[in-house]
Amino acid sequence: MILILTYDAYEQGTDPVVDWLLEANVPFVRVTATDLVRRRIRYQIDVDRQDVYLDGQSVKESVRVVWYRRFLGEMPDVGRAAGPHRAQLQAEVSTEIRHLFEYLCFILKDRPWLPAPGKTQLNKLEVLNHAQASGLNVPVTRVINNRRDLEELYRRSPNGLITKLIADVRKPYVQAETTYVAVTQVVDAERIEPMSEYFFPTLFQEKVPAQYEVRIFYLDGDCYATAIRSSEPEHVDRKLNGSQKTHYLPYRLPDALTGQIRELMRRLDLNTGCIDLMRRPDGAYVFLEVNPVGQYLAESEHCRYQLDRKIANWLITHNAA
Amino acid sequence: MNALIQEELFPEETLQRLPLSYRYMARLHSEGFQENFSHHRFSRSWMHASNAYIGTGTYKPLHDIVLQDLFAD
Repeated sequence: MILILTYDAYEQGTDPVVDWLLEANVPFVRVTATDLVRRRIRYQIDVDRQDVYLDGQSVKESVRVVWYRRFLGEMPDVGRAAGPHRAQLQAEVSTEIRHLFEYLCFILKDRPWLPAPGKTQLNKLEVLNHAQASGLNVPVTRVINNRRDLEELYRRSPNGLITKLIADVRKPYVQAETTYVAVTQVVDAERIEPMSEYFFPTLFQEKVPAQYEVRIFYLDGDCYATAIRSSEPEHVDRKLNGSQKTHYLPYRLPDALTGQIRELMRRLDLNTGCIDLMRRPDGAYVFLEVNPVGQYLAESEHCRYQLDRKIANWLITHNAA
Repeated sequence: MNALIQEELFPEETLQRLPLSYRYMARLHSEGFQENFSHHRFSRSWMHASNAYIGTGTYKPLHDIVLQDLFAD
């Protein structure tokens, strides 16, 4: 049986794979964090036997492969009734669920996972070092807490600077008709000038002059690459430019770059992920980041890669092994 | 989606305790921000329903053309 750990709400990357599993008539179970707390299924985790019982039946042996798809990204809400303690309570309940999840990972550690447990939330800075060690170019990157060092970095960066959050916590703040989101933004002299002498440690990178972006979906050694270009790029973050102005084309990676990507994924112990690169006008490729649970559908559909089917086939193959 | 206006969500006192990225947050119309999924779905099971199984129109013809075949790279 295939165990899918995902969202209760809509998760665009999960449904198409599930469709292929249904078509193949392969047994699978889709579990979310909400399932664990909602009173709709009877289960217990027997710590002594390291097993999970659903309706009294052991399921540990039947789970042959696990697909992790953003399970921890959606935590059940403790609700407004908690009043002023809501934030603290939410943090404690989320930690409780995370520990429960970690134990499930422990008892299923011998199964093949896509991607491996504990590898889904990477440290962006650490990944840059692994990319360097794999032979990839990376942008000049600094975490700075003061205006003086930032000004110096800005002077030494002819193409300008960008800033983004170190961690991938980019959840939108929705206020009725308005949504606020922390995206990659340009930092220029106008923004630096009013900054106070010291500020919260913030990630800055040189702005990479891009001919186009290359996004790679990596699956167990195979690279599916897409060249992405915005026809009227108004913003440094592609997500803000609108899908109508974004163009996708299948892309052939140079062999050397494929080797570097494989080496990076080996170092990170990842068997899947979405990798972002920039292709500079001089032909060089610059690595930006890898997301082990990144979205893949747009590239898959525009380039006809059928990545949903390839993920399903990977799961089916490992389920049968 | 593209109606982007720079405006701070948090008061200055809070911003001073946050990474600078929060000072430059994009302000968008909720309706147009697809990641809110209020009116947007990027995948639907009906596309794969048995009466139209993987029979949806393809965005591009199935071929082996890559960017390098179209443009000097």
